Amino acid sequence: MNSKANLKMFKKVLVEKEVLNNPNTIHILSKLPKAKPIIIDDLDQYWGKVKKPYLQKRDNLNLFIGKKRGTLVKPAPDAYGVSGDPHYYFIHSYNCIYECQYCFLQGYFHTPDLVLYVNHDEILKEIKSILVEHPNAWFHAGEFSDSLALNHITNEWSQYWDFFKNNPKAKLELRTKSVNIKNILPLEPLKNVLLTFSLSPQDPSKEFDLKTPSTRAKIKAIKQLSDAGFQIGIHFDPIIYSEKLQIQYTQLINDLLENTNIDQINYFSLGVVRYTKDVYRQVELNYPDSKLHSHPYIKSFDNKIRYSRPMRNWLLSTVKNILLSKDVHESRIYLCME
Amino acid sequence: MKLLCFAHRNEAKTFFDRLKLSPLDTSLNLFKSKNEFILISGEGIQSTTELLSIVLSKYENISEIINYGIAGSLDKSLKENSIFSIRTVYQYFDDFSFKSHTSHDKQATIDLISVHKRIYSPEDKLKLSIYAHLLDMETWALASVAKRFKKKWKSYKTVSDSLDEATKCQQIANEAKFYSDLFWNHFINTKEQSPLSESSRNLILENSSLYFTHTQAHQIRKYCKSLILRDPSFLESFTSSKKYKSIVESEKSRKEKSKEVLNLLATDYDPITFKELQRTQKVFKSLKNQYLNFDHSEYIEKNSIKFKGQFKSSNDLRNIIRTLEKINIDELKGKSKDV
Repeated sequence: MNSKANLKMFKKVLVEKEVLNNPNTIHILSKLPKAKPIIIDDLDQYWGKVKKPYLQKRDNLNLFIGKKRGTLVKPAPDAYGVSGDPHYYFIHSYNCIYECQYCFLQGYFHTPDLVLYVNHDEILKEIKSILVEHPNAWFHAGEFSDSLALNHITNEWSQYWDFFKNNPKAKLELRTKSVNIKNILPLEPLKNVLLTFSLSPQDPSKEFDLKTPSTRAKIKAIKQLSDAGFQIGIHFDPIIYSEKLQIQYTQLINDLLENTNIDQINYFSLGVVRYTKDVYRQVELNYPDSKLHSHPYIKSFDNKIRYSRPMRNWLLSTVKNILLSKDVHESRIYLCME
Repeated sequence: MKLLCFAHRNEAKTFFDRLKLSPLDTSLNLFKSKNEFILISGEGIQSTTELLSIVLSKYENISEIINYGIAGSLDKSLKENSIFSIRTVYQYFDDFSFKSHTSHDKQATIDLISVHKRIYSPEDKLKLSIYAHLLDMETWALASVAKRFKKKWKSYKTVSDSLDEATKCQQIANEAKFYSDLFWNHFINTKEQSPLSESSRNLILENSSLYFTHTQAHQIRKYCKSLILRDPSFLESFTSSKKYKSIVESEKSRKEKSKEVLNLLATDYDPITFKELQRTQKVFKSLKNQYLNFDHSEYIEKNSIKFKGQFKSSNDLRNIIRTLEKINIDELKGKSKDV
């Protein structure tokens, strides 16, 4: 992505005074040469201060650069990742440039404006302190943003690489829907750093994952990383009902396994589309004609809005069985948030 | 009826000249023509809130509020003498207010922030420009009152000054006639463009050989809405399908036929859940007896069985136990069984 595209992407760039001289801020701003940053005292005085409709991200997206305060690394919810070791997530960014119709971010924050936090040294310090008690812990990036979508501007992951090389028991997951791997490929592949991709068959992806790269492009990026020796994870999440589900996922899994060294795919996580009540309300408001609404939802066991249990189980077992039929070992398949 | 709302009478001058307006309530600055009300709300959040609230309380036949006015520009790229339709309106009163309101114009792309006092300095305008392209002193109040009264609103603004200029109030006042002509031309050109009302026809509900209860009709509409999202020509293909025709043309009662049509739609709507519901209902029905009654409504999602039992003797109790022992949990789970 060139700087012209970056400039178009952000209407305004606002920088917290405290991080103006942070090397990460300087790096980001160097990638946005035409931006005229507005200096602000405190991010919280502006970001999320007004209720800004989610779809304004299409033509009125601001970028905030600041310092993450408070707890920087948090325990992940139950059933978040591979069971066994403790899971944590850290916040290096809020919001996303993509526009997936089911995305929880549309009902989570009160603004689609992006925040890039630049105090990675402090995040790493907090990760280090957790490792004292939980040396095998997992750390996930991309809970509130896409961890690679803006990596051509931020290039923050090289700072994490040395740390995880020196802490080989700890695991880092960078979760993405992007193909923005240019800054990752030159790094040394590490056994404990996983690049994980959320994948959907091409047709539903085109319909629901607006502005994301095509499934074909994602598989190409996975192949490049896999060929270079990086560890991969695949999230088939969210699975959305389609009458052609079986055919679509068989095709997707065939394409993926033909292009990837299966030994480097550490896991496949499966999850069915789900929303909190607030998020679902926003999805209805933002995408009233979406085919997402063409199948019935119910309020499920945890008060989230989901398909009915038989439908969820059918979807999960269909995709799981396709994986098993392709010799993916059952131990590498886990169900996310079920 | 539409209510046209202006802050200043000068901005509405051409409307007064062209429409045959008669004063309706002079204390409210409210006028009426054959098809429209016109309100001169005065400047500022408070005046707009007060007058518009009273008008909407008194005249319930107002369905939509259309606002025209002059706004300050916070975005250099906006051309003067153009009309901008407002998308979202924010408010600043010493600090940003959290609440925002979005207009009913889905095509609008320009955002506005309403302030409580005139803003002269470019520095203040720069701060406000983080959220909005334009600035005024009334629209947030208008949108806020409209929301409270559940009325549609649209707001059209023209730019009076740019970000770097100090606001020139007198000059704007002098040019009010020019702006009023601009608003009038916009009003006339957009007046006839009212969206066609959505068709609410439903070929199934209209079929005279069927009879649906109110609840069933609601279900039909719900199913059809989803199925049309999947396939826009669903209703036509469904009503011309062999299955549908054979139900409709059968000798059964209207009530029976309607139930079958409903089931046919439910199968299309969610085949997996519907099949499971029917299967489990059948199991529970076969278990039901004079001592036990099952509530299967929550079974599908929670996988737990609720039942009510009643016994008077040890014989009754034995019958209950025997019935419960007949339940094959694994078989019953079917597709509700977790992966």
